[in-house]
Formats: sequence, C-alpha cells, structure tokens
Amino acid sequence: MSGLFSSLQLGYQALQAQQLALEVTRNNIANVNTPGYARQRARMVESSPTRIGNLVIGRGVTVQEIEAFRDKFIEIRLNQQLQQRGFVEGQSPGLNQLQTLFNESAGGGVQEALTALFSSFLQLSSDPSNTPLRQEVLAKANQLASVLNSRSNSLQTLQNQTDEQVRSAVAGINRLSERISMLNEKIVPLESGGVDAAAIRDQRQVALNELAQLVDISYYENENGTVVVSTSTGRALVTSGRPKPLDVATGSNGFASVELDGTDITGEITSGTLGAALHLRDTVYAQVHERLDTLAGDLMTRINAQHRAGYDMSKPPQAGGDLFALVPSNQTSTHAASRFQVAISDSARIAAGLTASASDNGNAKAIFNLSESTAGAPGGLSFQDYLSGLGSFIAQNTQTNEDNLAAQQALLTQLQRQRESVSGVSLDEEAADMIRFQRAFEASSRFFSMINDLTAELMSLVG
Amino acid sequence: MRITASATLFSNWQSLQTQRQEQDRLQLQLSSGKRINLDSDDPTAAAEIQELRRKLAYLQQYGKNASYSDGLLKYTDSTMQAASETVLRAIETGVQGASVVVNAAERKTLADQIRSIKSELVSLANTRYQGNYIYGGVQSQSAPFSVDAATGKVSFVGSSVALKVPVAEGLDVQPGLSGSEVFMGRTDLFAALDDLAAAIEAGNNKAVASQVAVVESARMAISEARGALGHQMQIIERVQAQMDQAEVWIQARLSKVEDADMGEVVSRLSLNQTAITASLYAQGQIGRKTLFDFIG
Repeated sequence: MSGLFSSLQLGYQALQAQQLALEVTRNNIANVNTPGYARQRARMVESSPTRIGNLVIGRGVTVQEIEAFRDKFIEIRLNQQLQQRGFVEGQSPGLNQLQTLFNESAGGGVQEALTALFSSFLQLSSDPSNTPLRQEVLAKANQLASVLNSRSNSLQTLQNQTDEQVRSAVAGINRLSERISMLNEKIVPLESGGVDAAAIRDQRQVALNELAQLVDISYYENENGTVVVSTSTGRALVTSGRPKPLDVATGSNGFASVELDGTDITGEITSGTLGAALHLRDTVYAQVHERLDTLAGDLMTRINAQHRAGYDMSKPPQAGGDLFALVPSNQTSTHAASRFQVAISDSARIAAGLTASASDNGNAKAIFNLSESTAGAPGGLSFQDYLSGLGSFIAQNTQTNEDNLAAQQALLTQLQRQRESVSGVSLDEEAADMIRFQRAFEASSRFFSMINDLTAELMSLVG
Repeated sequence: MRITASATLFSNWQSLQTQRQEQDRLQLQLSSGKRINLDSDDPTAAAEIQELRRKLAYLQQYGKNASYSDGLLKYTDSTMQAASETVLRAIETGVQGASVVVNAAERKTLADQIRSIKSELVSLANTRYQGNYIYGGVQSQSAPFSVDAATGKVSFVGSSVALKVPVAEGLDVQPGLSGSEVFMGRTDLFAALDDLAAAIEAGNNKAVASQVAVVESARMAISEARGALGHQMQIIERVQAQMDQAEVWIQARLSKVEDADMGEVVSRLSLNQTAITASLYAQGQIGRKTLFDFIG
C-alpha cells in the first residue's frame, strides 16, 4: 500500500519539479532583453533514497534551488572597465570641442592671425609712411586681438559647461547611491527569510554598473547580502544604513568642488565621467587657458617693448607708445587673452622707425624679426614655437584619447561578451529546455495516471 | 562560449558603427579635398602644415617687397637718366659760353639757360613715387631740396640715410639713394651750376672752363649712382628667382602633406560601402531564426 501511495506522491513531486522548471524557462524567455538579467535554472536533485530491506530505491526528484548564473569576477572586472571607459569616453566630446576651437588646419586660427600681423610689419618696412599699409598693420593687430579674445571666451564657456557636467554627475551618483542602498535593504529580509532575491540582485548590479560609469568605486558583498560601495580611495558611499551623499561646494573661482562629509575629495576622483569632467576642467582646459594667457602677456610685453623703442609718423615724430594693452579685469573676463586689445586707433602712431624720421623702417623690421626671436621669451620659445607647442598639446591629447577610447571599448566589449556567455539568455537553449521539461511533464503525468488506475483497481478489490 | 541573441546583435551593431565612422571620415576628406581637417587627424603633419603656411606667407610678402623695390629702382633710374641728360645740356651750354666770343647780352642768355636747367634739376630731385620723395632718404615726406628765395642757393634738407627694404630672410636691398649722394656726392651740382652761370656772365673763360669740369664730375656722380642702382636690381632679380623656386617647393610639399589623395579616398569609400552593405545584409539574414520557429 505504502508503495503505491508513495508512488502517487513521487509522481506528483515529479510533475511539480518539471512544472517549476518550465516556469523558470518561461521567466528566462520573458527576460531575454532585460538589462542586467542573469539567466536562471531550476536545480533538480535526486531525493534521498529509501531503504527497503536490502534494496535502495530512489525517491524521485526535487528542485533544490533556483540558481542564477553569475560570474562574480567577470562582473567586478566589467564594473572596473566601465569606470575606465567612462573616464576616456567622458573626455571625448570635450576634447573634440577643444580641438575644433583651436583647429589651425582649417584656417582662421591664432597662428594664422599672428603670422598675418608680422607679415603686415614686413610689408610696412617697404614703405613706412604709406598710410594704407599702416592701416593694414592696425587691422591685423585688431584681428589678432579679436581671435585671442574669442578663443579665450569660448574656452571659458567650455570650462563652464564641464563644471555643469561635474554637478550633474554628482547628482547622478547620489541618486544611484540612494538606489543601491534601497535595494540592499530589500535583499536582506528576503534572503535571511530564505527567499531568493535574484531579480533585486540583478537590479542592484545594474545600478552598480551605472555608478561605475560615473565615478571610480570599489565594492564587495557582505555575508548578509548587502553591498558596501566606496570610492577608490576608500571613502564609503553606501554602507549599512543611509547612503552618504556627495556635496558640491563652489570655490572662489566659481567652479564646483566635490565633498564627502565635509572633506574635499575632488583630487581623489580619477575615473568615470565625473573624473573625466574634473580632468578636463582642472587640467586640460586650465592648462590651455594658462598657455593662451601667457602668450597674450608675452606678445604684449615684447612687442610693446620694441614698439616703444621706435618713432611714429606724428608731426613731429613722437616716441612709440604701447601697441597692445589689457583692458581691466571684470567679472566676466579675468583672463589676459580675453582682455588683450590694441591700444592705438590712429595708424600714424605706429612706430615704424628707429630714428625720428617719418619714413625710417628700422622698427618695423625689428618688430617683424620678433616673430622668430627667442630673446626674453618665456621658456626660450619664439611666439610661433610656443603656439605650435600649444597646438600639438591639444592635437596629441585629442588623438591619444580617441585611440584610448577604441582600446577601452574593445576591452569592455570583450568583458560584456564573457558576461553574456555566462549570464545571457539563449533562446535556442530555452526552447530546447522547454521541450525537455514538457516531455518530462507528459511522461510523469502518464505515470501518475497509470498509478492512479492501479490504485483504483486495488480499491475496487478491497472495497 | 555561449552565444546569446543579444550578444550577436550588439556585436553586429558595433562593427556597423566602426564602419560608419570610417565612412564619415572618408566623406569629409572627399568634400574638403584635405586629408587633415582637424589637427588631431595627424598632429605631426598639422604642425608641419602650419610651419609651411607661415614660411609661404612670409615668402610671398618678401616677394611683394621685392616687386615694390624693383619698381622704385626702375623709376629712380629713369629720373637719374633724365638728370644726366639735362646736366649734359648744361655742360654743352657752358662749353658754348667759353669757346665762342659772345657779347654781354648773349652771355646773359646762356647764363639764364644754365639757371633754368638748374631749376629743372631741382624739380627732378624733388620728384615723388607713390607719395614718397625718392631722393629724401628716410625723410620721404617732405621735399629734400629747398631753394633760398633770395640767394637761389639749393640746400639738401632730406636724410642722407637711404631706406633698406627686406626682400629675403637676412637680405635688405636699397631701392633708392639719398639726394645728397646723387646730386652732392662728389661735388655740389647745384652750386656748380650757379658758379658756371656766374662765370659765363662775367665772361671769365678760364673760370667757365674749370666750372664745366666741376659740373662734369657731378655728372660722374650720377653715373656712379646709376651703377649702384643697377647692382641692387641684379640682387632683386636673383632673389626673385630663388623665391619663385622656394615657393614652388613649399606649395608642392604642402599639397603632399595636406591634400587627400582623391583616387585613394574614392576607392576606400567604395570598399567601405560594400562592407556596410554586406554587414547590413548579413544582419538581416542571420540571427532571425531561433529554435522556436521550428518546434510546436
């Protein structure tokens, strides 16, 4: 008796197991496109056998657990790679904008304007008292000032834009910290109660990956299933309890700095989109702006010095004054390059001569020769070489970043493929499983039905 | 390694993106004709292009300076030729005045002719070219020779320093001469003419003869000056020839470095388009079917 009734029981258990497996397959198929989903499988094990005399008889199948296929190590590496790629990718648009702004190849750049100014002095040296030629010099000087002003102002705009990106990245980081913390809280009661929290874990991993794109983090999982997230320098962002938000403080230069618990951690952020924005704003753009300002200052100092050594075409000729000047600083522009202006409006005041004769060209020649001169130049570089160095700095940075981006992207893709290989849903596989479980279900139900008939027979014999 | 549906799709999308980026790059080269549109396309080449453009700009400006100097030289030379011929007339008049016995009235006429020639020469010496007094040296904005209304004495009030114009790197030419050198270099031509006129009027034949010799030597100075101008013209000719060559070389080099090789771009674009079409076709065909299409 117990044999038949327990067979019924075992038959029923088998049906349940196959049905559960079908459920899991259904879930996998439904989630084929869900980002961060890790495929699941019902793990069937043989039930512990029973002994009848000398015989050991198996007691069917149970589903021990529903396991999700994840490779923790791949996920950690993927997370780190997202940080690195985020850093390089985050800089790409900003560097491209910088390069476009300072592009000399297409014409209209600073080097061209400077060459035109020196050419105009060379031209003036052929006929120094020629008014149209003098006006040409003034025109070229104004053009140079205009180009420098505009580059400086545009650069300032880029820096401001990047500052905005810093602020919005911090906001994004805080949102994600909040979310991870909330998911942590959901997981703990579920898992300590023995319920599998696979779906929530998937969501949490997605949030961790989004966070990694923004900033450099490291994380690990506690025994109770919560995840602790800290910055790469070890400051906790998410622990048990409330998440720690990042704050934004505005410095004296108007730019945002990043703080955690009142400590300035701006210098500690070296990866992710936030790291990219900070690097652009504080290193790349700042250096370019500094060099541009140095150039403006140097142009003013050295050209003015030579100009003052000469005589103009006033009647009688007067000693030359300043050719260039910096207008006073105001709120919108503090940079030398944006304040660089021509100090003369009357072309007769251009000091072309070295003697007080109306048509001496000695000073015009001397000013032209400044173009290649290194005397008194900061760093011993002529104007042209200095500008060339600045141009190369920008071009090399941009090109190197593009190359890095391709490399980082390739690495990321490789890791993503590996993760897919482990955790991704293959529809072919699910289809095959579906058939498998369906057939098993059918077989089990026939068995169940057969045992049922036998039992009924028996009942009719007894009853 | 398991291959899932989304892995395949993502892979396909990525390779298509790469091909599209290449397409974009090639199209830009095609429309601009340049291999380098942004400095970052090739930083080293971009730096060279800037340097070549700069050299070219200065070279072209030197060329303009050379042309202007050449024009000034030729004009100055033509005035010197005229001056030389004018002085010759004075010498002939002077010789006439000494050799033929003439009366006081005729002597006066000859003397007046000499004085009139002197006026012509002063005008010539105060001639202008494109707004500049060519014999004023670096004082080109005011007439270099002034005549005292009372005594008729001609003084040089310009500069004895002549303008030196850069026509090549490290090379200046002097496209003119100061009037003090041309008309007063060996001897004061105008004073000599005055003295000749006076000698003729006075009937002092010995004085006339010696003054004629003085005027002769002044005429020599003009010839020497013309020689100096000729030398400068030769320098300019040589310089212009060299600069033409240099310009050709720079233009060729610029073209080599920055221009896109059209044939190559077109053929690469065509390959790229083929690759994209093939990729799109493959994506359309592959990965459409799963096992689900074949069961049930």
